[in-house]
Amino acid sequence: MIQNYEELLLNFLFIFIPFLLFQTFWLDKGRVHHTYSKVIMTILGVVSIILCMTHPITFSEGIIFDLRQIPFILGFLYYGWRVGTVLYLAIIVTRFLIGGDGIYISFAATTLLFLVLPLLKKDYHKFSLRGKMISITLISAIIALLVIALSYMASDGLAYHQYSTSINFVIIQGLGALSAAFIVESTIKNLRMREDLFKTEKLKVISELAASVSHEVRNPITVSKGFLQLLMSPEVSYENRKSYADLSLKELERAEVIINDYLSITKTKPEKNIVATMEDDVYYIANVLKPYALIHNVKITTDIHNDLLVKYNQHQLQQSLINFAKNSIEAMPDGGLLSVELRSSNSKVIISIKDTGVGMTKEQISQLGEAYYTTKETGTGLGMMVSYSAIYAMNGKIKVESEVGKGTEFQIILEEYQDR
Amino acid sequence: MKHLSDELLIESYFKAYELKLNPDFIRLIEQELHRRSLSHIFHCYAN
Repeated sequence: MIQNYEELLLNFLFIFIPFLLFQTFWLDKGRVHHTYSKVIMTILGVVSIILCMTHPITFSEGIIFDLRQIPFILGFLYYGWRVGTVLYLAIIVTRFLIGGDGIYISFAATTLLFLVLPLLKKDYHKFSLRGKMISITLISAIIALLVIALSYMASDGLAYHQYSTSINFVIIQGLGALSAAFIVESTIKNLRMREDLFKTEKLKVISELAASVSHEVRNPITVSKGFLQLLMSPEVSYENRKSYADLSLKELERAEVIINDYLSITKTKPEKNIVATMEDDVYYIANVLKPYALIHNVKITTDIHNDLLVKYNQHQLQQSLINFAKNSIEAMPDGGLLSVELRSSNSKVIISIKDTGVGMTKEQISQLGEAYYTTKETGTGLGMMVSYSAIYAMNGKIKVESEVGKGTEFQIILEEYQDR
Repeated sequence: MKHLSDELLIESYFKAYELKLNPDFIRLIEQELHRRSLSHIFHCYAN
């Protein structure tokens, strides 16, 4: 039987490490498609393979094996043949350096795998979750079986007790592959859900603002029409006709601005980061929420002044600020004052969104940003979570001060961009 | 609305009323008249 369960557990650990590390340190930052994800995963895969091969699992009958094929298979199927080739070479070279018996068996099995995997990869992504699990488990188990078969042929048959041990190898490899593949698929599903979440939230905000924007844009149109009608009526002096025309134009321009601001939210901006002072963005959100504020009887004041540069994702920052400000407006059901400020202090840039609304208790503050936390009857509880994670992804911090009955202040603190 | 002179504003109000323009428009002119404390003209016209 297995001599040392520690070695078995270590091997399992080694094959899970790449994905867990990647998720924790890179993907959780909110960047779903990291620029260097392939490179990072290749490096982690190679490390994983080398660790597996240098800490093999020993069976009492002198049989040793490890789970090196699993990172190889997963790397090839999920990241393509380039990554696969690097992992293949990692196995060959490491096996060569380790030396000892069975080198050629290892070469043969690994090379066969290398030739077979492209065929599987072609259709792999079309498989259902179940199909993927089954195919990965099967291929891992079959390779293990192949290694045993080759060993059998090479050494004039195995002793009887070595058969059952060898079956253990097949089972362990199969199970290892199954669990690793499951983790990978879960991670991918998680990331896709986060992307969808962000899109859903955006749509929700857009539709809630739509009513107020429509209402707001009707005013300048009504006035413009009225003045044009007056302009066309008899017995109006030339001077007055000019005034009417001028006013009508001004009102139409006002309508244009309201609609353009609103439409900007609906566009999907690229995922790239920009380096700017954020003054434009803060002005923008204060403007875009004016109609919404008006309907709720809320006055917006702005105090925007910042010269420091910050590196951030413009679209996500705007969405997050809109979320915070919209919440503030909604916290003032009887009207009130929303003040939006942008200032800098000590190489930090601070955006402050303050309201004179119902405020929050300490308990409520502590739950901000958690998934599905909402105090609204028809709330989804996702808005704050999305905004919080967007700010954290930009290496920002959020400070909340609130007093029940008095109001709330959200402070978003971002670091100045240092150009090295 | 703010860019209209008081005179023109008042003239517009009466004309809009006469021509039976959009009630929302008329209401907006009324609001501006109130804002400028010119609402006494309503009483004049009523008579």
